[in-house]
Formats: sequence, structure tokens, C-alpha cells
Amino acid sequence: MLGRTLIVFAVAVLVPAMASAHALLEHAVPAVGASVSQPPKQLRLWYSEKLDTAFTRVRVTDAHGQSVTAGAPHLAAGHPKELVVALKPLSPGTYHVRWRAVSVDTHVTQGDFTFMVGQ
Amino acid sequence: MSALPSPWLAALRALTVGGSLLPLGGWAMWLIAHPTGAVRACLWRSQRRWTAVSAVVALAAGVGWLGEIVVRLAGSSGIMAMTPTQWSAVLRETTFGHEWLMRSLALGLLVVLASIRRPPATTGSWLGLGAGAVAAVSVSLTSHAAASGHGWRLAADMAHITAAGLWLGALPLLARMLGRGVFEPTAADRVTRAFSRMGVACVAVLVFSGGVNASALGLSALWWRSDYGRLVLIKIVLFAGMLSLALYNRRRLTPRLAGAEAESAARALRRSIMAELALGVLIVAVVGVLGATMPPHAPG
Repeated sequence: MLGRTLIVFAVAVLVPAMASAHALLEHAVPAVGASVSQPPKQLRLWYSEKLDTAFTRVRVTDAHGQSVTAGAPHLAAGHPKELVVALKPLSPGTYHVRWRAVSVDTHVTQGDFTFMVGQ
Repeated sequence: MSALPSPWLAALRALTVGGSLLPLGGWAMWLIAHPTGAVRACLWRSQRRWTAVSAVVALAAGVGWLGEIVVRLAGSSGIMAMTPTQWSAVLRETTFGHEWLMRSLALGLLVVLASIRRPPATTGSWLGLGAGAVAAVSVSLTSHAAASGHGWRLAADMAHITAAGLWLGALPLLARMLGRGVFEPTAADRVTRAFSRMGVACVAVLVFSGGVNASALGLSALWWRSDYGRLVLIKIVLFAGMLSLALYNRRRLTPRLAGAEAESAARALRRSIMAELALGVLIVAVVGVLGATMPPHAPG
């Protein structure tokens, strides 16, 4: 018990103020791997960290590899961890999302997922 | 797979952070000591040198760090492939760029103050303290605490950085006051006691703000077998050494400054303070690596 207390105390003192983590994708709408009946007008992505949008990228493509985004990603008003991407009218099919997020602490994360419309 | 950053990046971060932190404590010490007479000019030379070296090192390393960020964010293939547009975009459109500009301005002001030969009046000294505080606190603006989006975490982070800068940065001038040709028992006793009080306050702030940071980060981050965990362990050992020296100085050596063995006590205290400073510099080096190391709970 004493050892654990000492470790917690030491960590409390010494975990660096500059400890860095990364912006992880927490959830999305449409959700990762989801199938939706109505085509969404926008894609929303929620991250674990505040984002800098200048170098944050989101690319949404259809089954032919054609981009279906209708503008650059931007932050939702008042929500620095929520990214919004407008989409062109989507027809039924599978869509591939590839994202690259830059958090305020300059760390870069990336990932991809798919969602389906009308399937 | 190692989560450690490249030695080059770790060195740039450590030099930028260290050089940005240390002037704050130096200027605080200058105001606390408030030296007079012939000693004032002598200590001002030391203060100028310390401020200039810290600020110039931080500025130079900061340019390298900025270059590394431009490469990483803009996806350039290397330093030579970077375009002016990319540099400009990072400086104008990212939090890191804004923080970098703010820090550079503060460091530039410190270089200007350090270039003045005559010891500054009170206003100039407070200006130095303010610029030192801005340079130190700027480091927090792109920390994980800032990225978390919680104001209370950012405030704790700023307090942590400020306390670290005050403690570490005050040591060189304090050591100089105990040196040959400058040491004067009454003044040294007064200043070391004042520093001791500031040191206790700094440790209290470090404990509290560190506790806030640790509770927010979560103990899961301390995966002792990871690179991150090992670095934290190294930091714990170094910090324990620094704290032990500080306690020894406070309890044993400082009280002797007012006694009959003042000269020998001053020499011993000076050596101990230099050792304390060396441990502090090593901690800053570890922080440079930690700041760019992925905690073990984050997926790769």
C-alpha cells in the first residue's frame, strides 16, 4: 500500500507538463462501418484532442475513387474537437473515409474507415 | 516498436524548453537579490550572460523545432523541400505557430535587455521577469494539456512550467552570489533564505499541478515497461536527487552562512547548487524526449 502511495505521489509530481498524446478518432456520424438508409449531407468526426485545421485533411471517396467532399473540413462552432466535412449528394454505395488529424500539440494521426449508404 | 522520438527532435525540444524556462528564475532572483554597490555590476554581468545564452539557445533551437514541425505537418520530404508558403501557413494558421511567434518575441526582448551594459532600473527588471514568464508559459500552449481542451488543465500546466522555471532559473545567479569576489555573508544569508522560501512555494506548486496533470493523464499511461514509463522513472530519480540536495542546502548549509564558517559554507553551498542545477538540466533533457514520446496507452 505504501509503495503504491509513493508511486502515485511520485507520478503526481513528475508526470511531465508536456506529456503528449494524439488526436484519436472517438466516433463519427455516419459511424465507422455503419450502413445508413438516408444519404448524409455531412460527415462529423469527434476526436480526443483539440485540432488545428490548417493541416488536417479528410478525404471521402466513392467506390470509383472519386472525391465526394464538398469543401475543406472545418471545426464545428464552439467544439474544437469536432470536425465537419460537407458532402456532395451521395448515391447508394460504399464510401471510404481517409483522415489525417493534427492536434494542437502538433501530433499527427491518421486512419480510415468505410460507411455505406442505402445498403 | 520504440515510441521514442529521434535524438535530433528530442534535443531541439529540450534546448527550446530549457532556454525558454530558465530566464524567468534568473530575473526573479535578480529582483529578490536586489544587489547594490560594486557587487551589482558583477552580478549584472552574470545575469546578462545567463539571459543571453538561454535566450539565444532557445531561439536557435526553436527555429530547428519549427522546421521539424513544418516538415511533419506539411508532409515535406525534408528541410530543403519546404516552401515559404508552408512556413508561413504553420506560423499563421496553427497554434504552434502563434505560440512560436509569441515565445520568439519574448526571447528577443530578453536578448535586448541582456545587451544593455548598465544594470537595469526596477522597471527594466520587471520587464525582464515579464518576458521570462511569457517565454516560459508559451511552452504550455501546445502541450497535451492545451490540446485536451480543458482550461483547468492548461492552467495547471502553466503553473507547473512557471514553478519549474523559477526554481531552476534562479540557481545560477544564486551560485554566483556565493562565488569568490562577490560573496558577502549578510546579503548571501538574506538572499538564500528568500530563495528558500520561493523554492518551497515552487515545490508546492509542482506537487499540486503535477497531481492535476497526473490525474488527468491517468495512471494507465505509466506502463513501466514502455519507453515512456522508463523515461518517467529516470525523471523521478533525477527529481529525487534534486529535491534531496535542495533539502540539504536548506537545512544544513544555509543556516551556516550567518555563522563563523560562512566562507566554507558558501563554497559548499555553491557546489551543491551547481549539482542541483546539473540535475535540473538533465530533467529538462528528459522532458524534451518525453514531450515527443507517445504514452503507452495511445494506439500506434
